[in-house]
Amino acid sequence: MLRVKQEIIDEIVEHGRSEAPLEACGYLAEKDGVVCKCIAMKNIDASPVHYSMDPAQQFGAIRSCRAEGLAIRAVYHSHPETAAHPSAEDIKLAYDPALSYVIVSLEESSPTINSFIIKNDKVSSEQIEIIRAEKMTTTITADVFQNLRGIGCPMNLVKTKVAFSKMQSGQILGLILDNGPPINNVPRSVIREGHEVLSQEQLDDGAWSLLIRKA
Amino acid sequence: MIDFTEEQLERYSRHILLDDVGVDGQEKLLQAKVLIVGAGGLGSPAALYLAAAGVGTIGIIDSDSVEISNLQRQIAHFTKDIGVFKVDSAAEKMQAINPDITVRTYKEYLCAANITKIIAGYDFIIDGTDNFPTKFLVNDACIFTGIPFSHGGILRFNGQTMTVVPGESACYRCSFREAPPPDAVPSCAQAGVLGAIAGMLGTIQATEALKYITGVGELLTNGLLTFDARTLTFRKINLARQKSCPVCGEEPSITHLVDAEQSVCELKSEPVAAPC
Ligand SMILES: [Zn+2]
Repeated sequence: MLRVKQEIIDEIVEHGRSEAPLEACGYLAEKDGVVCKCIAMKNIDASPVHYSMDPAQQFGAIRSCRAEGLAIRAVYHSHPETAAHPSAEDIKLAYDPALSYVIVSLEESSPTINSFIIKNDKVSSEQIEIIRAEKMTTTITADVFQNLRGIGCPMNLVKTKVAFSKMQSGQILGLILDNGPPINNVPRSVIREGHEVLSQEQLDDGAWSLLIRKA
Repeated sequence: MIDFTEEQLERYSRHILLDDVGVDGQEKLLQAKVLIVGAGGLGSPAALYLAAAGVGTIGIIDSDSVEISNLQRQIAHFTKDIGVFKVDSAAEKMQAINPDITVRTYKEYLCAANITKIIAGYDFIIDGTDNFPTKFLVNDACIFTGIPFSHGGILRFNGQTMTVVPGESACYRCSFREAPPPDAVPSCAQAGVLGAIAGMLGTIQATEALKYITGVGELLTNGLLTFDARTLTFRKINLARQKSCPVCGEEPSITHLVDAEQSVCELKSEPVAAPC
């Protein structure tokens, strides 16, 4: 199992797209069992179908990882025009069985990422677990909190207005709103009434957490 | 501050959602007291809408009982109510729409002797009678007590209404000095009336009451709104407060309440004109 932070996945895709139509390559470094760093390397082959890293840059990357307390966990590269599976050349050049080989395919409009372990020319695929970014911990706390999970439109707005009516100007109302029409409508209405939406974050269950300052 | 129940929040949600009404406006409505004079053509829709809106206390005064000829336009009354006091019939419907409110009924004919006592404590009055003596009596009593009111009248295909805020805007007498002599103007009973225009006018009067209570918008003061349902033409005639007005002017000649030429209080068995 390869555990990777969501933002690293985003960086790999972005690197692949920025090099296309050439293949992009690089290292993934981990700490505490989670890949948390993407080290973009130069593809000295400058080819759309294969890649090689610059040995000097490889040593530099390994050194700086060590200095940061990170360990190289995987090699990644992009397939601009083909599927996310190792090519014959990829298998032949996979020299380190301790590393995972991550391939991002940019063939389709939404990229695909797969990870492989390649030992003695034998390829086995490896599961990737994407670790979502931790929620930003906000320093603002709500003076009044309303959990409007399961409350549809327009009663969620009615209850929001009732909550505001009991608050002083400048106080903060914390709201939990369902995804869909509630998150699409309630913030718009409170903004129209002059209140200020300070933050809006989606929770794991799809509902939204908002902080709103009363006008 | 009222703590709305879940049921109240749902019942009044469409008011609370309005930016200009909101929680505060609904609270004002629940605390307001409105008197409706006449449980007829105008009073019926006004009573039903004010009850639905959650006006906390609604008084309704009428000495008549429901007759079959009323049912063409007095929509608070049903066929089963024939013979029942109009105020009892109306109160039953108002409470059925909204058990949240208090309805006070008065089975009396409004006259100079009882009007001051009856209107005391109300925030707004809806005049839904169609006899001129009572219209002038309501105007004068409201000017004396400072209670705002909505005047309204309908006949045939026409309606007219104005809102009076005593001491601020033109009163009914500023424009219409005194009641026409009896029989100079036909009543609905003689001339007929298109039933639906009672709803058109009564709901305008209810709207004015709601606006006054919540403070939303501008009232129909210093202007008479008239319409002709045949062409559906609405017209607003500007009116101004008159220094020479006999009741709200600088030197008023009317300083106490008197019943008009017919002493309607003594005519209970045969009212001058049945309220439309
Ligand atoms: Zn006047």
